Amino acid sequence: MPRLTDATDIPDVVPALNLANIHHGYGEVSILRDFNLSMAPGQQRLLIGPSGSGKSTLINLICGFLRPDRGTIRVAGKLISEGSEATRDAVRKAHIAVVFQALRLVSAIDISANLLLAARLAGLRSSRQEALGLLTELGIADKAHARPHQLSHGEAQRAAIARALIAQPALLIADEPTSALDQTNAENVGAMLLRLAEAHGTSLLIATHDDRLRPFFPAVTELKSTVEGSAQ
Amino acid sequence: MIRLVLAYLAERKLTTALNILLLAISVGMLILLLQSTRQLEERFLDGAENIDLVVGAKGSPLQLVLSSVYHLDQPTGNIPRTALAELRGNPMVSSAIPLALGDNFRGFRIVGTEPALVDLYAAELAAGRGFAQSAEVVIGAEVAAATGAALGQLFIGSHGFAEDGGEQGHDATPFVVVGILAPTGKPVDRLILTSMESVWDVHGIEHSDTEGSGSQHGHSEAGQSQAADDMEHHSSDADITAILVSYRSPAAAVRLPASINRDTALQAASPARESTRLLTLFEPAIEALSLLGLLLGGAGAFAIFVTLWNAVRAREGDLALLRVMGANRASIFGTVLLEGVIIALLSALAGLLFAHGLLWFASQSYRSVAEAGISPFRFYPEEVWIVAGAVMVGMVAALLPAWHVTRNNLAPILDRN
Repeated sequence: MPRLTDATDIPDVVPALNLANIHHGYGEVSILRDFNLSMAPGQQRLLIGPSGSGKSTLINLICGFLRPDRGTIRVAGKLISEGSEATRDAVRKAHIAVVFQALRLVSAIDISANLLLAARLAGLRSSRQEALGLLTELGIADKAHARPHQLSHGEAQRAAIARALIAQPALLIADEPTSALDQTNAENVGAMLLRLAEAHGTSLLIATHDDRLRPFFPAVTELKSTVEGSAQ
Repeated sequence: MIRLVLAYLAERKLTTALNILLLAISVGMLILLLQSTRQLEERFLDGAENIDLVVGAKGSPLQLVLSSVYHLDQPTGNIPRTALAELRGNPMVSSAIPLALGDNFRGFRIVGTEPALVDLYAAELAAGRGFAQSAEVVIGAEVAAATGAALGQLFIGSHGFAEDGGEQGHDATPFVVVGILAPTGKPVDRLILTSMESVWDVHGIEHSDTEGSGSQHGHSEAGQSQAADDMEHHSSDADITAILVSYRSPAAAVRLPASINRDTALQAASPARESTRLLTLFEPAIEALSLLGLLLGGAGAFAIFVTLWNAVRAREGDLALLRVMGANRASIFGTVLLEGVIIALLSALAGLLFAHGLLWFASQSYRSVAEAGISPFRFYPEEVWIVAGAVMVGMVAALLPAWHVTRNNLAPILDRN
């Protein structure tokens, strides 16, 4: 069962993410028990564990799509584990961006429109120029007017990262960003995410089963496989 | 979000076009029905506003009214001029205006009558003066617009009412335009008015000032080869085609037509009654077409529903992503609803254009439509209701898919790769 690996407690600084005594399960199956995690603003952390260890559940809990059975989750000091749906929507909108394993670029619109849509939904009035600046930073400015299906996987992944960053989140979550990549590309993606998070002052939480990323991250939280009804 | 909705619609162009087409046909059909029935009703009501009774030759009363009041059909025949004097002598009659029909200029009927006919249709001169001498004419606004005829213009009339009857022109006796009427929206817009004497002179029919004493020379032998033509042409005497009667009092409506129909060889027909009868004849067809229009509307709504239902299921990942990025349930609901509304709005506008375009095409291509006074440029407030109804249909069709997608549990959708 996943357990606390480390938590950062810096007095007088509001953590970008704080999970305190989280218990969550599905029926008799306990996924998380007494789980604690804290990330200071700008901190980068690897959340590593095999399939079924609760990484996706944890992401859904942090995003407020699931409510923990017990415990509290705060993002940028705002409680997202409780309250009305509108309250949780507002916290997510203001502070969280996610890069999904499936990337989930909106296929009906081009890449720059994907970025602008994300900015609008986050309540920002970002310009097309700002979107283009981010795409340039990620080396895909020439793909600004391309539709998602016209991009390679690597380009689409960078577009998804740009879309997450344009929302200026306090917490950037990347779900299995290197799952389909070879060693070199996996290392490149890991390095790129770290560089971008640092450049944009965003806390970065990468949820992965990919051990190859471990050397890049000073802070690592391990999740272990769960066994029905009990914890390992 | 509107841009996103438009992008979704553009992404599946064919399905969107099919949805729009289905609902547009329904909207177009309903607007077409509304336009044609309302314009015909108005045409019939306005055209006969001051005419209580039409007196003419025996035959179909509807034909008599259509030919003499609305100038849409062939006359039932001619009647002696003495009938006019008799009617004018009747105490129940306020006014009696004669008509002599039979010729046309480029398809516009030349009507021998008296200046009082202009007042009967409440028409006013836009230019020139009323006809006074033989061969002088006053033309309706539509005649002026269609033929380009101006004051002082000379033209030659042709036998019959059809435009292609020009081979029997009255070359020796040209008419001259002395007045042009302002538009009225009534049948007079399409008429060329002249004196009774003009018509008789053109046809070489002798006439005297005493009503009922004319005799013919020189016209009836020309171009009488067809029976249909014979009916259109004047008889050998200085006869008249019909008389438009206004009652002195409402009580005349009961007694006068009955006495004419019973005691004389003439026929009396009430324009109001015949118009109502004609419109009643159309009612079953109008109702059937309205039902068909509504059924098509239902089919259009169902098509939008199926399309949106499939679209939101295929788009669950996108919509879940929008939620992650900050959209709340209400805006997701609104996105799907907006898609239905946009489809319906485009359908309604396409239907509106289709209906008015078809009316324009028909008025340009079919003389009968033009003669019926159907205009493509008239708009009725009910059209706004039809458009609003179509939008409501789109909204209702989108409600269930929109509600369904907001009920989605996001976690399992986002977990899917």
